[in-house]
Amino acid sequence: MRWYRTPRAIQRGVLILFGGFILAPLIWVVLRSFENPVPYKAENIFMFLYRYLSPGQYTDVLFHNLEYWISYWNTLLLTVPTLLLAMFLVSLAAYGLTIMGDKAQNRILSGYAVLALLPMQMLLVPQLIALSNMHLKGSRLAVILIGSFTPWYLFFLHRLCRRVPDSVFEMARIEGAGEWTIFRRIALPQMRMGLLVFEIIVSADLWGMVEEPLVYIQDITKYPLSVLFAEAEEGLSYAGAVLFSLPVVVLFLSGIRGVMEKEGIQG
Amino acid sequence: MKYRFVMAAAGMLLAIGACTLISAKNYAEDLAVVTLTSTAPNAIRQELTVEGEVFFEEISEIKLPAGCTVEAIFAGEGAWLKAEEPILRLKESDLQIAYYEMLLQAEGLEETAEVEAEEIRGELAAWQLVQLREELEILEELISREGLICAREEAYVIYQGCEDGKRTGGETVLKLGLPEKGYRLEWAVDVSDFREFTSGSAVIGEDRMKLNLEQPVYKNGSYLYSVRLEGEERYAQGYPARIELRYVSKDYPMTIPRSCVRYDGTGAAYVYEVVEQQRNFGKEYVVWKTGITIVDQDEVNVAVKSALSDVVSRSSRELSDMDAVAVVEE
Repeated sequence: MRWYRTPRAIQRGVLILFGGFILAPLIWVVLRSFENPVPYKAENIFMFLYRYLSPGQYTDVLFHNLEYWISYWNTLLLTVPTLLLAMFLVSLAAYGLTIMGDKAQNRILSGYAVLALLPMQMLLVPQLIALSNMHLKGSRLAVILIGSFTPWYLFFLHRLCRRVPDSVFEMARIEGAGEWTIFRRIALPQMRMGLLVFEIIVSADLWGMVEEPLVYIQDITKYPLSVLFAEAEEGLSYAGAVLFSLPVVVLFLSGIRGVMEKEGIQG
Repeated sequence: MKYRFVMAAAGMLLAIGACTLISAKNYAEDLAVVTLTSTAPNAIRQELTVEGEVFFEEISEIKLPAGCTVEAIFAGEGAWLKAEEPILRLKESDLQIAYYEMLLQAEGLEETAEVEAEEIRGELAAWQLVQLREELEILEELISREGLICAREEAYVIYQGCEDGKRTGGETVLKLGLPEKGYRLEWAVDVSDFREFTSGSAVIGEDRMKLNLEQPVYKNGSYLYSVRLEGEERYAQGYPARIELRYVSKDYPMTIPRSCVRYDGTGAAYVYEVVEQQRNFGKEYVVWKTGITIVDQDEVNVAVKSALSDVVSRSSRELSDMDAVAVVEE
């Protein structure tokens, strides 16, 4: 029997089952985040509710955890500049690659592919040596620069930029437009939708980075929240994780709605 | 869409900023405020005040002849007597009877001693005779004084075990304290308070005097001191005294104020040392529980074995290990 011929109820049931399986960790974290940090004995219904439906973890994290919020700011200070710089550099590189000849494009992309396939751990030491020589080791800029030049991002945007026909760029050149104007006025608007998706994916990727700050920063005062989660108390880490995920969720929801509106998809 | 996104981002930043400020305020408010001190060389001083009593150095005991009626009592217990001052009078006829009975007894013993000179009985009689003659001499003296018993020198009546009009028993004794021979001051120090006291003074009545401390004697969980008193003052037997003892140790190289020391459930002593800890918002001071060995202590200072720095001497609230604190500069 083909999937599209199966009854709707079974289709929905299977989807709910898979969806539930994927969402189970998230549901678990959200439920546990309402558990009272003090493990009261749940001897009656009121105590049960007080234990398992308590805002205690949230009030502790929101108003009594300075370390958490400093790390939150550190995450923002690493993620936002990295995201902006990556969007600018990668879109520029994608445009640059697009206007090159096919041969050059393929060679450069092959080089990128090799780099992208290398395990991150292999690149850590050379990158660390390079950053040390640039006197950037221990600074946020080290993570921002490394994060902005991730090869995967270029692959992604290059594919979007390639969808613009070369003739469009040629027409603009004939009309007297410079490369910067073509990039700004033609290439960038064409990549807009891709940039929106790029923004969602990259921000989610950067928001949870652990290895880069640990290796390149090595300074507890600059560590993002994702690093400090390893040492967080079990109780508080549930509410902390929910609050930590909120900006990414908001970004995702607002971004995806924009994509859907542009693409004319009904939500 | 752009507007919505900007608004959401701005709202989020505002919320994060507000939470950071509130958390910082609460963090600062939750800190225990502590003052610090460090080990310094000092001596341990201790003062102890105990109660003591004054006793006569020498006590004279006068044994009264048995079977004599007390005719009059001139000085009771606690009375001060000058030399030759009468204490009591025994009935003269009773003394005479006692004298002659004793005389007859002496004659009998003399015979026994002569007849059975080589026998044990004869030896015993001879020794009894010596004793009897001493008692006869006392009786003779008493009869010559018409039964009046007087103090030979200045004395204090400590004990007088007879009643007016009643006969004396064989054990009736008069105890007289002799002030001319001096006094002793005695007191006890509980073993928990005991130190090798270096000096002391006594307050007896309105008199204050320095004491030459002697080595005490340990008895039943206390150290008993007995010190001879100098001076011409007169005190009754058992006169109360307040003893102030002082102990000054050698200079210990490491002492801390007593307020720094805390004790756990097992009675082990510890202090809280403040150490710096790097947190992501900067340096943080936390207290660290450190066990100590107390070498010596008084009410103000405690001498310890190892050097300590930045020890919590006062805290605004009860501390526990690894608590974050705010340090007040003094």
